[in-house]
Amino acid sequence: MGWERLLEVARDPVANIRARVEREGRPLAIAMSSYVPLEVLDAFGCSAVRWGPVCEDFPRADGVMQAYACSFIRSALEMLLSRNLPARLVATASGCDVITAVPGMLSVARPDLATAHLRLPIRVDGAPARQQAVRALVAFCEEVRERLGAPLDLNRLDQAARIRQEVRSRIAACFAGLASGTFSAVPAYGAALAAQSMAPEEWLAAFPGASALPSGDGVPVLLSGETVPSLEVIEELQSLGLRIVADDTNTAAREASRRVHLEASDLVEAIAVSLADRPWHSPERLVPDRPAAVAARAREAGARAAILLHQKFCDPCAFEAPGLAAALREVGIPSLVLELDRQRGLTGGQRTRVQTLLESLP
Amino acid sequence: MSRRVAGLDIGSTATKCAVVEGGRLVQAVMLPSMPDMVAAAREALRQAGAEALPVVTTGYGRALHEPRLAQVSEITALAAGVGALRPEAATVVDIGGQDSKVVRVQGGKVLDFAMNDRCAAGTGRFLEVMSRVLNIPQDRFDEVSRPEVDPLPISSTCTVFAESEVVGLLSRREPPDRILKGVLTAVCSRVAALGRQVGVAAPVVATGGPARSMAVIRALSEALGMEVLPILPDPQGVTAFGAALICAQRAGA
Amino acid sequence: MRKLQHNAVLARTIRNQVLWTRLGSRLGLPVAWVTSGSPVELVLAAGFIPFYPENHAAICAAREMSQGLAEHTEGRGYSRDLCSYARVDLGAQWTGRTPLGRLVPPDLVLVSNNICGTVQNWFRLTAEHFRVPMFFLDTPFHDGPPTDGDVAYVREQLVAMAPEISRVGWRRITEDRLRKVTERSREALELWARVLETASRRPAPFTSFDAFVHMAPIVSMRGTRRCVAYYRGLLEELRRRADRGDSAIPEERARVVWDNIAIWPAHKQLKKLFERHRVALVSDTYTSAWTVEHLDPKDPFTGLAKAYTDILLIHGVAHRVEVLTRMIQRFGAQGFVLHSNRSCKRYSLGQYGVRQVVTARTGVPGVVIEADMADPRAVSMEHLEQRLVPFFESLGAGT
Repeated sequence: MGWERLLEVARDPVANIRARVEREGRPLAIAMSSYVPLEVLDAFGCSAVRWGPVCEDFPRADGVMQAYACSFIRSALEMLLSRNLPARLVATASGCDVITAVPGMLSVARPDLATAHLRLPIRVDGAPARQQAVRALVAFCEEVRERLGAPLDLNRLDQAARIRQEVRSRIAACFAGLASGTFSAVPAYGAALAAQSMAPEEWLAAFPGASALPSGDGVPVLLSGETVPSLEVIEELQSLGLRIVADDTNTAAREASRRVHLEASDLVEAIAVSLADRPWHSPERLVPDRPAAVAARAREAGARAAILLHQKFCDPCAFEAPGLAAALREVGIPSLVLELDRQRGLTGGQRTRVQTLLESLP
Repeated sequence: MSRRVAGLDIGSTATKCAVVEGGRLVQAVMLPSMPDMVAAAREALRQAGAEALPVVTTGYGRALHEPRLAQVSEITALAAGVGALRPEAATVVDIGGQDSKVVRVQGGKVLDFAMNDRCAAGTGRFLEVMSRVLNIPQDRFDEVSRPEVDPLPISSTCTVFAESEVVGLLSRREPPDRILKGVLTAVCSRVAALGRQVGVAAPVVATGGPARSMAVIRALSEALGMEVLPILPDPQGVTAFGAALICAQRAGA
Repeated sequence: MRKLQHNAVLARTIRNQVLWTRLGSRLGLPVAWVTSGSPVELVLAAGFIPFYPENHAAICAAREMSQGLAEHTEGRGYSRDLCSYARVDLGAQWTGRTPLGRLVPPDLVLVSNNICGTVQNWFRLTAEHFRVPMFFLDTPFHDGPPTDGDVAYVREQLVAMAPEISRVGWRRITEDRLRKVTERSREALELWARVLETASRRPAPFTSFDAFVHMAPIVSMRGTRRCVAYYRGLLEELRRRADRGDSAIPEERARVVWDNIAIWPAHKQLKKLFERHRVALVSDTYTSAWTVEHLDPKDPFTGLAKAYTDILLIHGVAHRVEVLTRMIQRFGAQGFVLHSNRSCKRYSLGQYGVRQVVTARTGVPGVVIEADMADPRAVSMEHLEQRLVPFFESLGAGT
């Protein structure tokens, strides 16, 4: 139990998901975006998981989709096509063009698999966007209900929303501990990665708390990016002499920043609003001041450099990178873009670049 | 007091060892890295008479060799080497086997750098592939790609696409010297693209194996729109030399 | 085989449009940079001159300027994997280099994500560069007809941005002005649809290679009288050609349809390759991407909301399959070509499945070719020939 369990799941999510599905005997629902609220899938009686890149070769996916899509989606498709996991439902959300294309591709390649697409707005400002988010989530629930033939259990939703929120706030606390040095990166990312595939109850039971794991030495850095592909990347970065003090990844702090107003009279509505009002959005949403906000957070946490961990072919990341680098530079923080493609760790060249960045810091 | 120290650059294709004394190069060795990088590293040290000397390792396999005083990235080592050999240089262009880099330097230190991410276009690897397709060994590039030859444009920079483009040109019986010139132009335009990320400032020097070829240097000068000077006679040994200088500094030699 | 007289008319029309834009801008008329799927009628009603960066990027590519401009953008740290239109156009903005002589700076940009998720990032950089406001119309993706909720959401945004746009422009957007512009848009779109329809005649008097070029006014002059006049003339010429039995290509032996944007860097070579093999490219999803049925002069805001939530690229695989199937049947095509366009994920991802289903439904074979709409470095004529020639031969066509 404890950290050992969380890190074990973080290192091998697929084995854990398989065991979990067997244990729980519920339909497996896979969410392919941090904007799909897992609590809703829980409330449909699913074993709900979120998915990061788990394989590095995509022979089946390459037969269904061109290779100029990010390896996160290629990996997910590969797993679905290989029927490595007994998935019943794949849930996607509007945001990037690749994820949006997934249900269509699956409708041809795996017509037996149910899909549901959450048509969230790209705008996140003002009442019309919030309203549209609500309409989108209601339509999404309707779609899931139809595909699974099971109703949304409102009691369960209440429970799931609470417990998922608890998980998110504990993860957020881990990451808050990075800046103060009271907590170190490997368990923090391990906790975040494990939460993607564990049942939330089990996660809470295993989570020992966000204290008393002081971080080691190293140059303090900010880590930004979409998906943290694996714990190995974090360990590799640490072994190169980095100490992550601030996070801006979708896997960790961004997703954990979402807060649902649990006392709201209409919980579905409150969940939809929590998606539109997420304090830390991904660059696929229309948030004008994101780079400046990230730079401010990096500075506040005392970062001396920044690593922008991007998936190759991720358009929102690639568009943001130069502006984010400029915003960081403006507050005196040099940065490095590392593009990951079909790999869960760093390449030799990437290790060289990280090391050079550290060696050239004043 | 001055004593001997060593720098060991364990690259993806070649392993280089440099021994310095009082800031001067006294011994240089180069061996193929494959099939066994660890053995190559040991052998290079042996041949350079550096087995007992303090050593700083660098290059792709820098973590493989023990014992060592320290390991530094090849970009830091390259900058140190260039700083000693060409102190006036503001930019270094290094065309390596697996990767190419453009480094802005000042006084032997890195100011900024760009390095290709994974794509083989603009690296020695691309030249290697094309040399095979054209059946022109790399040491004959200068002989074939003379200044007056007019290049045939190779529009694709993707190695796979470019290969089929070259095959297409050959099958249309286009002269190989013009194709080769086109290939060099294509590689150098990729390197120039890296350069734009950091901003290339004169004077520019070139290192790495391909920098031995004047045809490559000419193509590079053209792509960057400014004069590029190779660091001769050993453009491939600069990084190992730089590592040795760093070693001297750290060892207090 | 006879050249279209309208090629010369088109050149003149475009030249006049460029001159008019420059002159108008100098006279103080406001300029709006807009995406091809944005509700241009709004800015027209407010007195703006619209400018289409996508169109501009295509021109740069056709005139062999795109590589240099893209490289400039890449030099600023933007990945080569990003949309080549965006890279080319941003390069033009930042360097001032353009085949048009001079770029007219915008007073605002108007963007809609109904064509892709790229434009919001691209135009944001444009707006930042020129320090002008960006208006963004968020249009929900869907694979069926737009829902009432979608239309309400889009309409609400249109109504909200109208007074803001009026404030930057030189006259207020009134329902009346909007109605007039919408009516002209609708008329031009209808004429354009009929122009495209002429290729269903045998032999085809007009191919998609012609359409790729002659679409310029419908993209960039939609909503103006000149645009309506242009297509009226073109339609007349094509009807005459069809009646005379004039063929766009010599001895048409096979007919195929096309999916995705043109391959601008290889446009001419590809056109010749089709001609040489006696294959007529009779229709495509690209030039017929707009629908006209929703534009409604009686209720312009709702009509616009519906029209711009129902263009081709807002839909997914199922819709594309429908469109291609219908097209193959209507134009009597024996095959279809899917351009897998590295630059446009929204347009391209899903094509493998589309190919499978369309073939199953129509019995007609399809081929996927890998290329790019504007980056010559990602286009290999050798690859295109290797793919297309055997395909043409299998259709009974050949040199």
